[in-house]
Amino acid sequence: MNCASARNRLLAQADPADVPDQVSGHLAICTACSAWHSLLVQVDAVVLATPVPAAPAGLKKQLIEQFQPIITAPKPAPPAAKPIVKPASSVVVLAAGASAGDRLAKLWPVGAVAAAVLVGALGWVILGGNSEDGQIVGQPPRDPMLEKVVQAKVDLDTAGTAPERLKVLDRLATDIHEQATTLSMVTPGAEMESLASRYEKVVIAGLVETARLLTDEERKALLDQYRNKLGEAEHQASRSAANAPPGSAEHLRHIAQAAGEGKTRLERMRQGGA
Amino acid sequence: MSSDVVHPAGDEADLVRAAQAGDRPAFAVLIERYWDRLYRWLCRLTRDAAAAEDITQETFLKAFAAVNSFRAGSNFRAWLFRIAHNNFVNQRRAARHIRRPPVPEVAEDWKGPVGETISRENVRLIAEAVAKLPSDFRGALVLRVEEGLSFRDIAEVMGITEETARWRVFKARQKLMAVLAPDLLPTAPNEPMSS
Repeated sequence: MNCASARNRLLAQADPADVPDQVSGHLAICTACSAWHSLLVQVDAVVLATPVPAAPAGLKKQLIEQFQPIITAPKPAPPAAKPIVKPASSVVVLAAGASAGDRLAKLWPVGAVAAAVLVGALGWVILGGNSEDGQIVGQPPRDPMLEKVVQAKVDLDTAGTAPERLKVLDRLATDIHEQATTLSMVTPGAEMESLASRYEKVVIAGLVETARLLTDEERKALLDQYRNKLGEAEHQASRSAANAPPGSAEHLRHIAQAAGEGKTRLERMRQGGA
Repeated sequence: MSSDVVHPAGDEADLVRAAQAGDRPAFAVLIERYWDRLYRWLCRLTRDAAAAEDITQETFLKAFAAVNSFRAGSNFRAWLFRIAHNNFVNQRRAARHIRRPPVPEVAEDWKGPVGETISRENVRLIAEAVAKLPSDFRGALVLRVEEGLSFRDIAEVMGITEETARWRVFKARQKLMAVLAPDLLPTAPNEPMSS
């Protein structure tokens, strides 16, 4: 065996420290290859030991919290009455901090994970919690909103064409709108604001901008449909805003405005504008 | 709270089965187990800590969405890393024109047993050479060296043949050795025809 073939054999090993029998004889008599082999083994060690920047713990923690059961605070008193209507989701996370929003929003086209958190918190509040003092809640039910967002993200990544992406974004916008409508009566405030701004982002930065990528023929075939849906969403959100409590109404109006703006832009596009 | 409170020392196959049945805390345990190593691998692939972190998160979310498609009895780690690799490829495609400052490959305060046996200069040379490897080679090498994956599993992760996986690791090591011992190069075997 010559030097070149001995080294090739070593390079091809899963672990270069494991020397094949045929090569070990050569290494015993060839000091150059023996030194070369020592260096090769060290290369793996250096790769293994080369540091990478430590990841901030926040994102990992936030994600894990999305999947964990909650530990409840001791109940101050039994609930006066059980709810008549069970919310769409009771769930998983009470603990996600406000800082989750920025990073999740960056990753997701909408920060609807925040919505899932919101739904979870809402479900828990309405149901009054059903564990005894400080106990871990058992297997939590599935979280439909979170699953929808996860699915939308997957679908967006696999969508190969602008029409396919439009379909996903339209569905996501509808889901967020429905979520906001459901929650508007009971959870006015920052969460509604977050949902409304996410809705706007999906419609204006997502749906409208994706529509610009359609071919002329696709525009003719599809824009009417999405414009009409946005028109309907505008109408529904305005109507919901009229009946919503303070703290929710303004955010439903925000959704209505975003839907209206999206509708106008698609209309302009349909007529041949940019 | 640690996820292992709910699933103490759960066997991986049991955890996956539980996650497939909708047990979210079981999936949280899998996140806890694999986050750091996935992040580390992606960090070496992307050379961008923020991108690596985002892809890590995205990978787990996609894995959760697709967990029912995971076949019992196959390698969950390879499956997870495969999703991560696909995300990395997509991210690289989307951000091809964006140049970010690379991750420093060697910390200023390099210490440890390796540092004691190899000269600091060689450590620096190797780290720089690793950083300059094509990402496909770097990814395969790190999966082999750091994760200890078999060539078959590396092939599964990267969507290539086992032969190509072996060849990439071979070439990566060869390139690194060319930096350290430029006058002692062996000849390369034939490149696989397809991957």
